[in-house]
Amino acid sequence: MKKMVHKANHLLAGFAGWLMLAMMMLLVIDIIFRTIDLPLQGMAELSVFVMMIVIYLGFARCEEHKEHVGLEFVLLMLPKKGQRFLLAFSQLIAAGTIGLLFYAVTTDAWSAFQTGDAIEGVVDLPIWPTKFIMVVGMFFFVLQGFINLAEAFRGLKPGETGGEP
Amino acid sequence: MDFLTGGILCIGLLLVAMAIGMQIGLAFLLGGFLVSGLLLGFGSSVTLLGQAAYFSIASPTWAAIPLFILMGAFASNGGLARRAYNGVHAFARGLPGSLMVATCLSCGVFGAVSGSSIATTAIFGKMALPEMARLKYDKALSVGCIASAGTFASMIPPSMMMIIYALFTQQSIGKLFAAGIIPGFMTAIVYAVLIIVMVKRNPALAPETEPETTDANHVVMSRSREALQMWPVFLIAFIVLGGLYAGLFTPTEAAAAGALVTLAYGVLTRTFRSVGDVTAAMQESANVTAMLFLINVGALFYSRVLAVTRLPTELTMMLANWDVEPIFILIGIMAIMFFLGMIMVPIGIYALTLPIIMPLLVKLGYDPIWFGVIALKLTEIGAITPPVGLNVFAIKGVIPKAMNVSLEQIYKGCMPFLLCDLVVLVLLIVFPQIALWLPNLLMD
Amino acid sequence: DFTIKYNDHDPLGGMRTNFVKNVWLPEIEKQTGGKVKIQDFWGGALLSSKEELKGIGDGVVDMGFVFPGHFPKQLIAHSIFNLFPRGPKAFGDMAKLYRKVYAEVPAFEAELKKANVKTVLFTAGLPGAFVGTKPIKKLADIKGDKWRAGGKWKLKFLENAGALPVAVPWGDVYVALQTGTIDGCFTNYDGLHLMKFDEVAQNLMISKDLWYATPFLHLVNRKKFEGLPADVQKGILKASEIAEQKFGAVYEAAFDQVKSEQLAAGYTVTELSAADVVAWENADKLSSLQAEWVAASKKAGLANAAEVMAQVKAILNGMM
Ligand code: NA
Ligand code: NA
Repeated sequence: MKKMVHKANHLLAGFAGWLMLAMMMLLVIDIIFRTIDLPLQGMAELSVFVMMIVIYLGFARCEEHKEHVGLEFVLLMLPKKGQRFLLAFSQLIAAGTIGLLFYAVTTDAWSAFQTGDAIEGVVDLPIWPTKFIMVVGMFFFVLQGFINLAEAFRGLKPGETGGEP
Repeated sequence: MDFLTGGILCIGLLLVAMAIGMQIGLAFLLGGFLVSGLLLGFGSSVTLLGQAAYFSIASPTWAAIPLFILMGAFASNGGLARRAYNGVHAFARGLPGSLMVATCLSCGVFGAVSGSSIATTAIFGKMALPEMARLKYDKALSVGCIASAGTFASMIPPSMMMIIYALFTQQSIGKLFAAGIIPGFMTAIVYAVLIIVMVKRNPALAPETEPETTDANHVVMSRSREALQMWPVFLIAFIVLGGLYAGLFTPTEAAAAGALVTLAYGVLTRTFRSVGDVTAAMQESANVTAMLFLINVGALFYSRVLAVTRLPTELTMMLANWDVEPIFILIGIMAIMFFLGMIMVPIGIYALTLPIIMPLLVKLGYDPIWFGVIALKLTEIGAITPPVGLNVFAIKGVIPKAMNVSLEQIYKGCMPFLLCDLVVLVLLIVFPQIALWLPNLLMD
Repeated sequence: DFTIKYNDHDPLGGMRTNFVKNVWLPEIEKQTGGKVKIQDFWGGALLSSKEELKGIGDGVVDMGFVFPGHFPKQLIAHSIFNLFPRGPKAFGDMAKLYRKVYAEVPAFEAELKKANVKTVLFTAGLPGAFVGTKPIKKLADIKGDKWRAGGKWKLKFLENAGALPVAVPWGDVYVALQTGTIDGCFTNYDGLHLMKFDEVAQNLMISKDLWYATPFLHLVNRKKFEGLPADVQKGILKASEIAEQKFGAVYEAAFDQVKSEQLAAGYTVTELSAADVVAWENADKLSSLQAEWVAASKKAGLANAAEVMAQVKAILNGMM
């Protein structure tokens, strides 16, 4: 399970890297065509879609590598055992919060799909496909949040070293 | 629930969630959601959160941030940043803390392209930090220097926050832009002086010792030749600045153009040796973007919930009914903005306080353009004050893991610069002409 | 007592927001005998423009402002007025038109009901106006230049007039005009003044004939409204009726004020000639645009789009 999620996170993050380039190219193409008097429509909006995908697909990998930053001063004041308890406790709440965000984003994506919510342009760009991809990213974020939680709890057992800060 | 209970609960929950070490973005979301649930009910809170998760950041204005991060990664991984800082190092050898001084001034110049202080922090963090680390600069101070200097982008035009201030207060954008130029560069110079003084007194802060492994080229190369190595930096700066002011592209698009030009430089000069080098830079930027925007989404959502509690509004309204000398009301207003800057994002502060503050200030005879600079200074100070400092988070995202700098250390590193900002703020209050001289000269 | 949250994505200081804050909301408190207390949120402090419809419908706030153009797939029928570039000059006639259309064309009430909202007050933006960096004296002067407009139909009218319609992010328009990325922008007269576009593009072309052609909706959450005691409901509606009547004068005064401020600042303000208004409307291409609207709206879910078009056209023709 952990391996599978790791693989998925890795794939999604790699894909997000290429999307960064796509985001750049969309705007560059927009500039070029406007400069030669053949303005395009909707490129800025598309680049925003791509940005949203980059962001949400990247959450899980950041969580896996503990790159979502937090404050550490309380943690550092505690003894080793206290640190493990605090880590497990805060990750418990974090996992719950990720789940909550997942729920909210999913509900929102579903309602965007039902209403056909779109950005008004020469061609109305539907928003739901982007929101659905965000849901996928959030799904892996939740999984990773709970994997980290399981590890933090394993760290509570005597003799284990998991969950070191 | 009255505004005081709601507001205190909202702030208290955030502080607790952050103190137990929760991921910052999640701490915002949790604190915000619990209070929002109490005030609006569960269903409405889910709607607020679900929509904010998308719409609070889904605008082209925000898109400039990932693209500047990408440009920074290309510049850093493609050798451009190394070249620039080698040049600075060669050129300004003997100047205490030369790299930090150069970074300060470059942030000022870069501010003429970027309208966003988060983006500026991220790009300079990516480019300058590895170089400062290589020369064994004090970690906290170099990081704090960049996080603080990133704020110049908001003070020096073009500036997103100034456009928003103008919109909220019905002031001339042109005048505001002009009003920010001198205070912006003045702050840059004050920072530079501070760095020189600090490093002179304690050279260990910036020993500028090259690591042993540096290739022999560096040693034999003459100072002027090394300084000349900087030409691509000036070329790229010229293209991006020139393109913006010639109307080829907008401030948002400048980020994309800059990233492309930087990538092209790395590819053409073959400092990117393989496709892998390029994709590594892209992936790094994507990671930083994700990390940074979880915080942004959280902070923006939290600002909204704080709006629902009405604490900021009520606090500000109390001042309006306060019967004292104008200067005390001004100080009160600034204290509130400073306080809100600790926990809120700038746009939220503007939206909640300006409608109440503005008529009050005008009645008391303060100049709205001048106050625009003051308000901006205060919200930008907020970008580096704990616990919620968006520039601090931005730089944390781009710090190489090996450097191992905690958020607490960054906040500490920002403190000297924060003091400078307060000095500049006092100067701006005592001598309003610092802000008003240029707009009056240009516009009247 | 009832606390009602009100949200508008625009900041105070504009024609509409000031009117709502200073006239309408106090009138609601007055007409309900102080039973209703308003908590107002401006400048998107709570909900941004795209969040407002669902935000009101789902009870994040109880009342708020919605610009229908932001919801092309939900407020489909509401976009129809864009296809009539020449409309009533006075706000009172616009409001009458909108009320008549609401009463006689069920599609409008239906899409509001679906979103769990109800319109209590209409306001409007000032007429569409051209703000350009180059001298513009007649419509033909925008030919071949890069112009920005909000919304697909306005872009099409620009295209029909010979301009190159460009997309520049809304937040970038000021700087884009300043640096010459774009040559001009077509939007409501109060909006362009509020956003300070005229500061960097000092040539204006205006006409009261070019109404902004989109009703500005001030909505209430339907369930919340229906759950209020009858006297409170009545008070809100009465206050809105009074406000809607007062808005006509505000509308006229705002138009004159923007114009006089621009003249005082030394900007060039040109009245569009009657011939140019007709040219902008472009009767030849208008009917094909209207057909395009019918097809697009049908596809988006408004099954009787053709019928709606015919009904609205008849009502408009009857009034003009
Ligand atoms: Na700037
Ligand atoms: Na802060």
